[in-house]
Amino acid sequence: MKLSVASLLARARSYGLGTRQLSSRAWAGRRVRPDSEVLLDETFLRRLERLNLLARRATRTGVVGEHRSHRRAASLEFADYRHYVVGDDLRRIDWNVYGRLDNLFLKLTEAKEDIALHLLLDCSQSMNWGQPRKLLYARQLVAALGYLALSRFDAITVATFSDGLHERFPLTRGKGQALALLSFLNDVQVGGTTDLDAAMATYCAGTLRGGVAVVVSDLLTPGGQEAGVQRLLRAGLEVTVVHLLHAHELHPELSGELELLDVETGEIVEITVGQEAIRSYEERVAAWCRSLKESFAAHGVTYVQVDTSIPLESLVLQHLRQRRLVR
Amino acid sequence: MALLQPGALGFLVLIPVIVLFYILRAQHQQQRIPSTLFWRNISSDLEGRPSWRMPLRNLLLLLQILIVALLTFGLARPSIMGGMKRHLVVVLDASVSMQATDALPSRFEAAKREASDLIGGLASGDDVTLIRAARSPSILESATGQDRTPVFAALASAVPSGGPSDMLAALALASSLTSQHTDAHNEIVVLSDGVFPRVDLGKLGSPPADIRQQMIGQSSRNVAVTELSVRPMLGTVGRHVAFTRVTNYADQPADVPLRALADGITVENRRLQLPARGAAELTLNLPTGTKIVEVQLETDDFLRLDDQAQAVVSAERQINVTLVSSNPVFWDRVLRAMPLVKVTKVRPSAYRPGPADVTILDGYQPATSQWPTGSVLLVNPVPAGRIEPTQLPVPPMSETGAVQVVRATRQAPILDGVDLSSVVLAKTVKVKLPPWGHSIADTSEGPLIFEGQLEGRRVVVFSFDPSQSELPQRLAFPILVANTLSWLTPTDLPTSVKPGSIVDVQPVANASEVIVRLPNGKAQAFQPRSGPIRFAQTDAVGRYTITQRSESSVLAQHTFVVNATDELASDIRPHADALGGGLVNAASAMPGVQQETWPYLAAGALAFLAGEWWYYCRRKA
Repeated sequence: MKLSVASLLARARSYGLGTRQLSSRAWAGRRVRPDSEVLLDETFLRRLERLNLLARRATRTGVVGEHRSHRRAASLEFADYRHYVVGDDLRRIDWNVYGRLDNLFLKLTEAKEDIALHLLLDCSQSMNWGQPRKLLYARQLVAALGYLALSRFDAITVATFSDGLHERFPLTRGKGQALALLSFLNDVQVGGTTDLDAAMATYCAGTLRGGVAVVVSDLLTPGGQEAGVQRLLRAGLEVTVVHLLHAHELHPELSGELELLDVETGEIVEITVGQEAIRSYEERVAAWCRSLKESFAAHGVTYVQVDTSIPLESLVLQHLRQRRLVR
Repeated sequence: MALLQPGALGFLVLIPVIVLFYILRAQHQQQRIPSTLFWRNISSDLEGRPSWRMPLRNLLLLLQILIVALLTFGLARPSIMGGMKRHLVVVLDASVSMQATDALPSRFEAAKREASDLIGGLASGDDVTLIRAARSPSILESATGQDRTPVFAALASAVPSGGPSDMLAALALASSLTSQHTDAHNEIVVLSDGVFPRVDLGKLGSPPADIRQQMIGQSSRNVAVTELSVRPMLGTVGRHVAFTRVTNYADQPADVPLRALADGITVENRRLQLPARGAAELTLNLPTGTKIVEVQLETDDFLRLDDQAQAVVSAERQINVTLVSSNPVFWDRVLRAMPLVKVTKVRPSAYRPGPADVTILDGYQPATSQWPTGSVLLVNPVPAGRIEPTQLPVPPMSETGAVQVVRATRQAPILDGVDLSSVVLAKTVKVKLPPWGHSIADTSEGPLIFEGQLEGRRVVVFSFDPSQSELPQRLAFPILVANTLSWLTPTDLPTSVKPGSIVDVQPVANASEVIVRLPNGKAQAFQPRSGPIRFAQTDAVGRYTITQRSESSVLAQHTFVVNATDELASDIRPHADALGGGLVNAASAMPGVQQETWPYLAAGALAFLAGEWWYYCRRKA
């Protein structure tokens, strides 16, 4: 079934979501729901439909998709010619060319494969901080990427994690699942500390058929991030880490005698914040980001640091394009 | 510097409290952040800190300490000496001697210049009061603060009087004003030539002021008509004789032309040879029917006002005199020489109180109950028989030996023109001055001549027997008797007054208007009311005519003259010690007054508070 944005929005309104496609509802339990916010607007959705996900290698999912595969396969799509070598399938020799050139050439065709997009959303308590909250920004980004993929008939799956893996949106394809995706993101609950390794271990334990994994997190995990990311790599996923940081995390507006309370761990640090402390903090954060970038780059992981003050459209349409995550 | 509320310094304890706040670390304000991951290393440097710190180089702390210190000192009300506010009281002597021209154009104008300089030299916040000292002192103007235009205007319009000045009253007025300016350094400056009775500043009490005299004038060159009186000529009817005295107050002899006029017609031209600080007396026989006699001097002295004098030949009025004496020959001879005096002689044994204008009790003093209703001249007050002293108006004490006059009040009308100096009395009756009496001549043994009012009657007492003294041999005696009879039989209006005197005019019946014509020709009209009309504008020397009229006719007319014939005022020799060297008040001699400085401290604290807030906001930003 082919769905337009207008029809999707109309259906969303019929479900009571209105133009606030992903307005948050009540949060329950230890983990609570974020405040009601608008995730995506109609104009942005239309622009997303014109984008494609880029993957360095397509993923065999058993479903012919829209993405050109790096593998050659029997198909009608001509790709190239090459000289015949012993052992090649004689059925693929282009006899017309042999007739004209008196040389044996094999006709190569290319396969069309879809991309399985794994969207991993950090829902730890630290993401529920800032104004606007980082989690809103993350949900908007996941919604945008998910809608983009669904629009290209790619398979997507979404999982939320903090100290473990929580809700999971099953592997789905087709634009018709966009509303379900938005509804899932709408019900995302927040809470807990971040344990990327434990969460990814759980995630990778399931059946993965390769694809692209996009981890959206502030990476504020005491145990480090590399182990979790490497689990994804080992699972055959092409990993992109979107590192969300609020502007006040990069440049805190604090001064005086303060008792700093860690919203995740409850840890308290008493400190006199002055210009020296601010400068020291900023240097440490910058060094941390540099080390993440270098570490991820060493493992072939795309690292995108995002200041949540950047508009989402700019992030998707400019920054992610520059990082060749979308095209 | 002194602290008026030193107890407020206790607030200085706030300073260590503030420092303590800085030493002890402040309570931390909780702030939620996504992670303390990157604050740990930073805070680890601080976590080991003690709970106190040395608040060095903290500008806010210094400012707050400064603010508390300023406010505390402000509450303690510090005061400093200095910035002294002055209250200057200028007493301008307006007596007749201030019209002397030895200081051009006159002493009074020179005093005004001096006053102007003094007032102009005051600081902007000083106060000034201008007092004119005449017969009665008056405040011309006073000013506080910077605008002294009214004072200068009052000074410019000030004029001298034709009479003496009561400097003691003027200083008393000034002293009372200074007592109202306790917050200022009071200074009373008397601009005067010192020609007034020496003032005993002790009578002023302890005024909170410095008093000093600023001398005006320098010369004593003055020749004055110091006496001019008219008496009926002895042995004649309708004729009068004028008595005049001319005094030279200069230190050099003077040759002064004198001209006497009777009703404007010259009756005498004479040159008077006057010794240095000496006088000459002469009598002038006036033509019959003379109404006004005038004496003029042609001199180039420094005071012209007293170079002339006028006298009114008063209308003759018969005086009925009852002479009660056991030996009436002497008094009979004296009284018969006086015109218009009708004498009735009575022996003491036959005496009964009668309605005479004047009763002369010569050597006979009855009890008070036996005194006549009219005026009494009591001569040689020997009791009439055995009468209790308490029943006698003037109880005699004893007889004295030969005595001399040691004091005479020459301003008293009875002694007007009478010189009692060097008079020797063989004996007198020693009496105690009664409460109703006022002595006008004293010997070393007590009062010699005194006057007063006893139970509504005028009484003059001679405590001696003139017939037993050399006084009757002198020209002064008939004048003394005439003055006495004149004082005992007062007329309704005077014929001669001093400048500045008050003349009470009793309107006659049916008078609808009383007009006083001044020497300068101008006239002032008064509407009669109940009681006498008090006419006080007698500063100008000359002739005043009072006319009382009804709607259609003149009911009465009276003339009196104002003469500057004042021996004290005419002696224009400046006296620098007329105030006894002045007065330096201990309180006013302090170098300054206590001035509170708390407003400045409060303003400073406010400024520092604003600066502290600005710095705090700037540092926070």
